[in-house]
Amino acid sequence: MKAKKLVCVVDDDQSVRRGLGRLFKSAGYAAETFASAEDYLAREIFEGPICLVLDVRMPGLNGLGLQEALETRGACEQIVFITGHGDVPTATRAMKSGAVDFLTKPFDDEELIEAVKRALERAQEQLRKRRGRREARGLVDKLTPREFDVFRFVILGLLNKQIAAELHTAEKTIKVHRGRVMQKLRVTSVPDLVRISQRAGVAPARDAAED
Amino acid sequence: MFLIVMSVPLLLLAGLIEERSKGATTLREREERISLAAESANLAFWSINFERKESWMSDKGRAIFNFRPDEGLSRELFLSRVHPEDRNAVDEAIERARASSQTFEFEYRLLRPDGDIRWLISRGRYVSNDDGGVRELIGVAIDITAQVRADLQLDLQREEMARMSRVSSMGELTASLAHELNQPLTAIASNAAAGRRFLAQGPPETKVFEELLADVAADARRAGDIIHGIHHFVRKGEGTRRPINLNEIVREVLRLLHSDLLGRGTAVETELAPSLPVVDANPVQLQQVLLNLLMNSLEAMQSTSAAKRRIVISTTCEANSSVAVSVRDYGNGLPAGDVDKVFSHFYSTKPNGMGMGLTIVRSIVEAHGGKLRAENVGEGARFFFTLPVTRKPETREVA
Repeated sequence: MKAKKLVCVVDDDQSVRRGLGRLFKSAGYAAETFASAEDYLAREIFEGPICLVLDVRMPGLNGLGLQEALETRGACEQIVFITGHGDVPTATRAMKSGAVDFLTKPFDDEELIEAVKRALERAQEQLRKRRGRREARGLVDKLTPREFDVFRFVILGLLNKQIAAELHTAEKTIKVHRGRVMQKLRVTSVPDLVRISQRAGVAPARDAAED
Repeated sequence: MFLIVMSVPLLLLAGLIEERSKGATTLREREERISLAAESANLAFWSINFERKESWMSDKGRAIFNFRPDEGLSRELFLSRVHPEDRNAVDEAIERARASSQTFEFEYRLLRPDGDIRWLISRGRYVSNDDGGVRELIGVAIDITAQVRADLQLDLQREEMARMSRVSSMGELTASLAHELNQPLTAIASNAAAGRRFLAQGPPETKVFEELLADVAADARRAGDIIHGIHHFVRKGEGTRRPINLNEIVREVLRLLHSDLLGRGTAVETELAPSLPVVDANPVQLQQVLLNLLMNSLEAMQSTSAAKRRIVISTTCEANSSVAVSVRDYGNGLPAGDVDKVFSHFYSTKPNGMGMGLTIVRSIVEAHGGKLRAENVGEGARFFFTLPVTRKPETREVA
């Protein structure tokens, strides 16, 4: 079951919610509307890509507040802000915190839909990355502590002999460990190993520059 | 006020006439003395003796009415000087007084030959002889033109000041109003764009389009209402009072301030009386009163922590005779000591305040027959005003 792309409108003004909801449906997206940031946070977490269209000014938690809350929640919703008065400091803050766009009401529908499209692409890209990271981490988690150490020296670019010296063991033992690491991480070359380490966020045993 | 001023001269005049009938030698002196006093007070004394067919008027009086020094006084001559629009009413008042032998008093305008209009109050009475017939008519007139003009000027100034203050509150509200207007405009634009896209995708669903167009129409109306509200608010010279419910005024003003309140992160709670008797008032001016009080509260809470920042507006009815509106904030409170000082001209605790807001608020409330007060309560301050309830026309009981 592939999750559809979802656009969520959060605005305290009912007319705006209805109008925007219709606009996104007419552009072929699934659209949901929420009267407040709190209402949106109460929604069950959606697995697919989400673009949030957020009013900056709202009673209760405002747009920037929701942006922060989502960040701590670790979600990958992408946000397009809309506002009645695009003051520069607010826009700057929103964009610095990773908003896709900041539009001033009333805006051109093409411009908004374009921004939403970009946001959804970014959300999808982020989901893909996250899936890759989860997969890679899942594989790395299967390594034994010793294999993990060897893994971190291999991606540093050391030869078996050097690793053996580092870990005070025989070169033959290292060779066996390295074989198991390649097998468990389902790769056949060192470059692939490096890629997986990057996806899983595993750092080499020490900074390469120290050598 | 004029009544008091004028009763004294009338007594003096009665005394003077007594003296005159005794043929006292000091009469001339007394007349002069009174004339002197009259001149400085813009007063005219006069008398007409019907038995002796004599009349007299102080020099100042002759100057005011533009009578020649030797001209004999008569009701006709007097009426010829009265402004044509006031002539009938004055004539009738004199006639009523003659018929009932009572004192008359009326305010009227004098039209002088040079076209100058002067405002006067005349007070007089018929003096009877022993047989009950009319012996004499005595009276006094005071020229109140200067006061009337000053009052008119004051009204104009007050009106202009109130308008200026509205215009400046409008300035503060511009951002808020732009936001208010943007909402329906955004909705209309979005609906129109959605409609176009739906059409491009094939024959439209009637029901979807019906709803869409109904929304567009409603939002266009909403935008119109907002513009109408602004226009109404800054328009000059509206002075009509009508029976209004203060709860409505509270709601309208909160709608106007909606976005501003959000921007300042201030919660507003309302405790409105479920049913309020109507008051006779100028709705635009009352909006201004409430707007000013709210702005005042907002500014008083600028240094209040966001969690505590709130305003409570309540309306209550007191003994069915007056309606009270209270605006309570959780700010720094009023300066200790004379709390009423905040109502005086040019008094301001704000760095860029003109100190006019509350003065105007008070003058509007008082012009409506109400009272405005301020007090410190716990944390923060409370401003409240009362307005008298409109009396219902008395219903006669059917026997």
